[in-house]
Amino acid sequence: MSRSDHEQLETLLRRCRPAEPSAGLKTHVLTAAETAWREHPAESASWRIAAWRLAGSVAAAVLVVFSAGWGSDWALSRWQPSPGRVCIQMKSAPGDLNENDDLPWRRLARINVIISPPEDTLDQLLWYRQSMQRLFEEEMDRVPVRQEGQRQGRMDLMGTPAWTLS
Amino acid sequence: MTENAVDNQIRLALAADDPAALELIWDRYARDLLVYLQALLCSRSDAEETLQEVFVKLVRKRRHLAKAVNLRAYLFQIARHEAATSAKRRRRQPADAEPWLVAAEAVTYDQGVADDLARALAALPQEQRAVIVLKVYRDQTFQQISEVLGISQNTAASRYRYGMDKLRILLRSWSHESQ
Repeated sequence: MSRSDHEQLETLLRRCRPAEPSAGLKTHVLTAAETAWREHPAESASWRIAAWRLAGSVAAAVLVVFSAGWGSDWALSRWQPSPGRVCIQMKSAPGDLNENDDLPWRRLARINVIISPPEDTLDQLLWYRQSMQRLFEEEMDRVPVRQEGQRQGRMDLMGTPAWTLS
Repeated sequence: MTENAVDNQIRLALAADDPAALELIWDRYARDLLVYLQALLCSRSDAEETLQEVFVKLVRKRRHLAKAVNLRAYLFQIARHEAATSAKRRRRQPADAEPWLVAAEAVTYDQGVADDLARALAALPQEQRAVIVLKVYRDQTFQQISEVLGISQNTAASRYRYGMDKLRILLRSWSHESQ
């Protein structure tokens, strides 16, 4: 399309025009803008808003930290140490329950000892000790006798030639 | 008073927090902004409503406006943004039938021709339409258009050329249909 074609089309377009702003529109728009001018003072610059937000965040963080500390102090003050003993540690003798022995039922026995009330502690502990000892002996009696090869630390594998075990 | 002198006067009024700046901005830029908004929205009432939102927005951003290097470009940027918001809102509401392009008084054209031209312009992409309207109806050069739209002069010129080509094809096809 040539320049003259563009000029012809421009001439055609110029025979029309977009609407102009009227006096009524000016009054309407300027009134709204002046209202906004009064409602949004220039002092509220963006950096001031950001500074206020930062100060508010810092104050809120300090408040949360102090509240957590105070709450922790208040909660712990309700829990005072008891004047009496709550458990007795028995001196272990050879053949007694060994702390290193970590079978489940022995752990249960130890827990029961620890949570026993202090009044009849000695009798109860003795009773527990006898019970546990009896339980231990019964349990040991029930353990099946191992194969000879396993006692010697060897596995009786399926298909293993007999001469390898000799 | 030159354009730069008016811009400086506006800047001084904004810096002094003087509401008189609003009237100065109106007298200097309202016509350009309204024509631009009509080109973007293809609706007179939407453009007028958006022009009000542009002025409210510039009041809120008057600190930035006072420091802007190019006042015209800053105002057109606000107008472009507000027009996009208005266009989104208008998708949810039916558009009005009020013509944004009217027959010039000195010419004997009837409104039907103006409506055809408005329809043809509305069929163009928004970017091409904006360049054509600013060039034809506000007599702006490609340099001025490139400054306010934030594009290069070559882009402005090519948008104008492609837009005019499409416009001519559209008008020609409609005239063949009517015959």
